[in-house]
Amino acid sequence: MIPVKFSRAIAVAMLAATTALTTHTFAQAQELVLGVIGNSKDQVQPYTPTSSASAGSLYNQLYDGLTAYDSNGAVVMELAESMTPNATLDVWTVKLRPNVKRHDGKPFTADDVIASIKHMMDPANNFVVSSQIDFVDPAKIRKVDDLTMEFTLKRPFGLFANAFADEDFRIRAISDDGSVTGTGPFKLDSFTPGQEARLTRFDDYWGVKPGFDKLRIIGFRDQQAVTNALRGGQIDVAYSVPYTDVPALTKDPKLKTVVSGTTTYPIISVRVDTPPFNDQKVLEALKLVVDRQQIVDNAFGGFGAVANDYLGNNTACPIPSEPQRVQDIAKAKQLLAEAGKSNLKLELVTDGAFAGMMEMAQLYAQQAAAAGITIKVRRLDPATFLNRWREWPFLISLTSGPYETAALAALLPGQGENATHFDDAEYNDLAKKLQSTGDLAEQCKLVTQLQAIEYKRSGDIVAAYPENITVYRDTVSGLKPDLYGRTAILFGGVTVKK
Amino acid sequence: MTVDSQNDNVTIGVFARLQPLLARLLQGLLTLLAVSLLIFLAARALPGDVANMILGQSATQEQLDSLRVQLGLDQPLWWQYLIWLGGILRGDWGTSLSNGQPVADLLALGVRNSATLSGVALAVMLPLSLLVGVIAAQFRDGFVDKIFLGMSMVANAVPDFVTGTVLVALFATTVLHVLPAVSFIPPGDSPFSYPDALVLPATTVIIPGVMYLARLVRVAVIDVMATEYIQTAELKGLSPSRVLFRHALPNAVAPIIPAASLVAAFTVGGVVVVEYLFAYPGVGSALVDAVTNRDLPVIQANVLVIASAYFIFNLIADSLAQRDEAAGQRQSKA
Amino acid sequence: MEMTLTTHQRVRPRRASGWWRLWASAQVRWGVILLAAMTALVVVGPFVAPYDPAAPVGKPYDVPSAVAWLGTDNLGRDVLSRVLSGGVYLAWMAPVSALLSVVIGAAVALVTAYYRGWTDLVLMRSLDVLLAFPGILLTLLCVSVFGPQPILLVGLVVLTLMPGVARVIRGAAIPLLDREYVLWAKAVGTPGPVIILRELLPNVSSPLLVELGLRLSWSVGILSSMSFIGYGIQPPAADWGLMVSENGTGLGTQPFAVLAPILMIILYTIGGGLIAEGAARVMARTEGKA
Repeated sequence: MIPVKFSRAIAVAMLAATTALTTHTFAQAQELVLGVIGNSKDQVQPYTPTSSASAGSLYNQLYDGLTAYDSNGAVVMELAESMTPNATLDVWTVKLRPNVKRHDGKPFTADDVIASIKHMMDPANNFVVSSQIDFVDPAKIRKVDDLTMEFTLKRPFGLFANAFADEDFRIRAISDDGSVTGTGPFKLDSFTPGQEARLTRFDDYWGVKPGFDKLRIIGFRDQQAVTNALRGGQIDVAYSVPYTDVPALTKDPKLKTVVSGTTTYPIISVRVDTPPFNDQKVLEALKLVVDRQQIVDNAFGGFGAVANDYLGNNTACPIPSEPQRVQDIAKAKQLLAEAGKSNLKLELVTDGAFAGMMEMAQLYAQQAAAAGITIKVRRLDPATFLNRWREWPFLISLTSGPYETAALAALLPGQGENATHFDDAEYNDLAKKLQSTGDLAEQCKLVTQLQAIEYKRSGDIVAAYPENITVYRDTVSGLKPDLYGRTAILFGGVTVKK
Repeated sequence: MTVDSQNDNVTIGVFARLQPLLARLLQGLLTLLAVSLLIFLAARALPGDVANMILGQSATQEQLDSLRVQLGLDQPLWWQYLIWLGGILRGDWGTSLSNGQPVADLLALGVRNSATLSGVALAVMLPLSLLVGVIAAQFRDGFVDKIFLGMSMVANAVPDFVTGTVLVALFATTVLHVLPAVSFIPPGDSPFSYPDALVLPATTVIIPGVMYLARLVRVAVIDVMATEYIQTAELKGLSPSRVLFRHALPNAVAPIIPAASLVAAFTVGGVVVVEYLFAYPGVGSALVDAVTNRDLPVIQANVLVIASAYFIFNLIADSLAQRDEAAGQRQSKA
Repeated sequence: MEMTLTTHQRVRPRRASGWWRLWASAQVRWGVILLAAMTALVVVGPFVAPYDPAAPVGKPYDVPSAVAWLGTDNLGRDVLSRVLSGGVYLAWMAPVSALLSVVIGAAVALVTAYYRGWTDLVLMRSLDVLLAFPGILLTLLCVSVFGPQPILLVGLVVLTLMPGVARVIRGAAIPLLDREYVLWAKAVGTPGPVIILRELLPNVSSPLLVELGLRLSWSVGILSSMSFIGYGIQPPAADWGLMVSENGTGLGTQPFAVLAPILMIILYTIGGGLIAEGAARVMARTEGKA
């Protein structure tokens, strides 16, 4: 009897254990681990000027915007349900999506939006990008009811919905205990700047929910570490990988890639108000020495397309009819000789912070040498580089975002990102028209005209439109191409099977 | 040294023993003060500041100026330094300029992780180098010795980041997949919960350390074995192992102690490249990050910790060396 | 003590025949040959390189082929041409840094060891400050302010290595102060500098040469580490250290782009190491027999 009892006890125990184990496996939360380059300056509240990948990855989960750009580049409504202007485009009525819940359980209302915008616009908060919505008068936002607001603008503005679609202008809310809360698909559990954020799915999210429960965002020091972690199986998704790593990564059968267009890429910039670059002939020569295909192939590993010296390859509008610039060393030499600037000696600075920057700088220097231009490439640490930002005469800069915000921020006089000091009367005029029209066809026509001016006269040498590559493990499914490089951080419908 | 063991008065004896130690401690504090001042000035001399880093490309001059006022960067240099020093003396490390977190919290995390890495590395490195060095000396000019010398030459030739890269390729990414390529340790957890994450970074530190120290042990043992003192001991008919362990080794250890202390200090402070390579969240990584961000209080705190560790290791090594010297003198008198 | 003084009148090693003894060591000979070969390669290399080391000849990380014998690097440049042209900086910067570190370090060590007192205190504590001052910050500071000039990089390496040399040599010199010949020289009123040069210096030659060998290797390591973190030799210059960091990501795809410069660095330092090692042994043997 005893042995039988004993063995039965064992059997029961084993059964219990197995059940427990199985239940445990079933109940175990599916976690997705995302690897990005960490930035120790990140904060939980979204109104910081740092546009780091790690902060972007976090904000995208915690907060929503009034509007947003979808994966194809179109403006869509998020927290707002509609945005309606008056005839003169200077009063906009914004209706909010009903039944949106905040992470603290309270309903999301117009008060949250008004408080957020006031915080953004307050100069004391040093939210530098607020200049992009300087048409808003924070004192003249009237709450009509809990879900309706009326914005009376400082000047007529047609791109209202586009401006608020920029990722910088996500809306936050303040809980009763004073902490910052959001409405996004994930709630924050813990956060260490630059190192780690742990999140749990927010089950009352209004939009498409992620197919997994837990998200962990790990911050790494550099791209090499992200790549290694992905290969070693420590992370499921890499926010981005260096172009040169892609061949090695694609050999691994457990890794998959999503290639998509992007609006974030490095460009070569010169100060058009400074000699020798203020000479149109020199500028044209500098644009003619570029072997664009070589830059696409060797700096971006073939992931990209040849560019034609204007920003915004991804606008839905027709491209300008200007001919594609191709390398013409003889012509460049001739132009330089005419300008009396043969044997130019230049220093090209970069902080090499973005994939392809160092590579493009070196290739460009080598290509320019054929036309007798000596270019010394100098890599600086970011603070040194930023300290003289807008002073460097010849630099590698970065453009990011949809045309109507990125190009205008970089090419209108007095804008913080205008490193080339471009100030072109015709361009300024057209840009003003673009901002004050609500008509899509008209907007497109203007964008094409603006790009044609850039092609002819701007200080930006845009050599390539690279693509964005997201590499992930085959345990993850549902990641989608995204025009704004958000493939790795848009988790609606994404599932994990480990 | 001045310590006289024959002194009858115990109290005076203890005091006499302690006096040099106290003097060294005082010197050490002055050294730390000098280091902190130098670091402060150096960090301020770097082009660009934390306001540039926080506000980025879009910032206007007015915004930069206003942030500098908020962060207290507009105050005179000497005043900023005194404020910081006053805080340290009260035990207040300040807050990070770049993310507003208390420096003490950030520091505790880094110190715990770095101390674990260095501790593990040293615990393996020191005995191993003694063993390897003695073996090489015993087989002087033999096959084993030659292999060791060749290896040590190569190991010393290869910079840390190369050793690390090769180890990663061998054990983590390219050949085998048995160890993590990146030593990620979640902020809330102890590094000992992730022993596999420690293996590669520790090995990267251990290899050149052992190769350097074992070489010195080898030379020292060979030198000592050649002295009259040991030759006399051998002539007296003492067994070779007794000669080696009782007489040769203690004398051989003395000359390598300063070097060992240097390696220890180097391991603590100089794991920067290794931490960087493996994304190991220690003091070195934190320092590089803080320098990049021009985050002054964080730079200062990390440097102070590294410098103190260096100082303490030196103090220990020096007192050990002095004791051995004294012991050696007594022994040779006997 | 007095008794030992008379019985152990020790003869210092003769210096006249020292060079022959050194040359007689196979290690020294091989070291010299290796160094000479490497130097020749570094000097002749750029002229025999098949391509311009800065010009792309193919796609990034092409594997070795008839076009590029060692394949291409991260920008599609010829690895062989870059290896052949990439030793110029290291070939002069590393030996100069090592030599300066050892010379200055030894001078500081011997002076402080002999005089003790305030000189010792001030110099050694200054070295402590220098040692405790993180090299990364120093490098960042100087390179940011003055730009990555080779002379500056050499200065930084010397500052990093010199205190270590000083400590080790000081450790070796202090026991000598109790030796009979030093006591004797002091007793007959020989001036301090003469004692340092004639009694102390020759007797620390063996650790000095070991240090020289090691510091040479470390100079190469530090210089290439500077390139690795982006503060050393600047691209697009071909430099072995820089090549290792530039092509680190391609280790899996095109290992030659990393292994070729690593091999060159190793060969180069082994040359120096062999000389130092052989010399140290000769010295030890000579001293032992004397």
